[in-house]
Amino acid sequence: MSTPSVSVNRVLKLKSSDGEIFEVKQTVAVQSGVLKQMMEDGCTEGEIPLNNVDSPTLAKIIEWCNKHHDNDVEGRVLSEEREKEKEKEKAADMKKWESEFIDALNRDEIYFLLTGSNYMDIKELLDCAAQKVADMVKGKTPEAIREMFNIQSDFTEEEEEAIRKENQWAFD
Amino acid sequence: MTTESTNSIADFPEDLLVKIFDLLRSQSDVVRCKAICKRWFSLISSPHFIHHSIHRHHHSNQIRSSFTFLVQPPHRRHKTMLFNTNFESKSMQQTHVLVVAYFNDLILSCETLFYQSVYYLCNPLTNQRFSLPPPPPRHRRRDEETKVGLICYPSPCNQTRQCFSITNAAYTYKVVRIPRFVGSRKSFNVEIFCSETGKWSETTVSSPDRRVSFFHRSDHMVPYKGILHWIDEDGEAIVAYDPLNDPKRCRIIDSPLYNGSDYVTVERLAVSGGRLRVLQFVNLFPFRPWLGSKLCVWEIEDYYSGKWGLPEDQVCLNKAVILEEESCLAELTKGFQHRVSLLGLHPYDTDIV
Repeated sequence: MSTPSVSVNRVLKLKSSDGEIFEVKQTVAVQSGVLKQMMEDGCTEGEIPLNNVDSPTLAKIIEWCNKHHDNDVEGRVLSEEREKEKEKEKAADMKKWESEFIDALNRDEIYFLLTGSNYMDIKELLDCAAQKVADMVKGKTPEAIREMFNIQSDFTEEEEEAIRKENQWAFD
Repeated sequence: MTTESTNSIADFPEDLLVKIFDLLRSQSDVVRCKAICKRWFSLISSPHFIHHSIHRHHHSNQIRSSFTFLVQPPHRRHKTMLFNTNFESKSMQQTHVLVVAYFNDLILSCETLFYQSVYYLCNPLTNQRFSLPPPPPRHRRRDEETKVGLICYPSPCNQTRQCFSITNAAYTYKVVRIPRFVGSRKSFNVEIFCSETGKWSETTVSSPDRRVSFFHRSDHMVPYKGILHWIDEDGEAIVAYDPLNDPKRCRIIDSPLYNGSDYVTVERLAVSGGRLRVLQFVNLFPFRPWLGSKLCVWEIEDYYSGKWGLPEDQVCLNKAVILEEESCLAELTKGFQHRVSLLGLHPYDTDIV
């Protein structure tokens, strides 16, 4: 593992913003930049409070990290010849799992997952969730985007008209 | 609990929003996001984001969701068809313009090939265009052939300017006009339009290395590394002119020669995959060109020493040349004056005929 202080069997106790405790293997937790740093600094004794992540979100994040960890471990067991072939297959499977995982989330869940993975610094999950939001935005009108994300426009009518006029090509 | 706070994507931290805008890929989606709210508008309009976005687009190898390409039919050489494709909507726009120069997404067009007086700078994707002031009158002779080059520079961050159009706003540009001159010369005149001053100015450019002649047949100025390049009349030299850093001089790069004994019929400069290339049509049988010719694609290996290499399997002509990008967009037949250029992206393969 990346640091000597991380042992396979040890677990971290993560406490969500609503007080629920989650146990996560250290080997899984290294996917979070924040937790990894804490392990390196040796300050993971007791409960680690994650004040910006609620329990449903934390459960999702741990599900993601476990899945990606399992995938890594499987890879090491394989013989070298078949590795390349398997590697491709696994990458495809993982992509599929990722998109199913993300697609199953509703708007609020994605929102919390994004802020949570941003806060915990889990790059892959963050990328995946950000891509999902980008996909949601694609090809939509400003009205539809506002409605989808519950955003209030703070432009005056004249201002909005000016932006549309200036960028007519994008609004046709 | 987090749920109690405003749970709107609009309130995301800046870096998260920028990440999402970045993933949009299509310019029109990004521009539409400007109309959502003031915070998004100012984020997308910020010079930081624009620079970041330009940088990413120019350095990524990903195929953009839309691009523009030009087709110049051989029988109507003076009219270029402009296709604007958008894979998302599968739409294709077609307009006829006379393109005299291009730089990435931007094209410089003119209404007439001879007696060029009014130039338009266009962004075919956005359909925006505006005209340049007319060049100095003394060279506007009817029969005079003029070659024009366009070159853009990312301008230094200008915090006070609110940029509405993403791709172009952070650029300043120069337009270089070279009126026809006769014979080989140690110096020639150019007229340069600078977007910052909004004026044309005249300069004499000297060629310290070697005498230069006017342009090789239908060649045009190709921007590469912020420098304009063209092949001179004899086809032996490539002239490199940097109107920004060295407006008084030009540099000569030797043109690659195929075996020396072969007959090069047409040469053209192009940039592909981020490298300068020379396309040569070589007659396989001297004096009997109808027996077949070959297309050689030379790529510059070392720009500063002017070393060339032949990097690819060479293409025999007499085969139809196809430009394909996921969906087939153009069917082209052979022909020397036939030209297709992909603009706005750097394809891996030379898609230039």
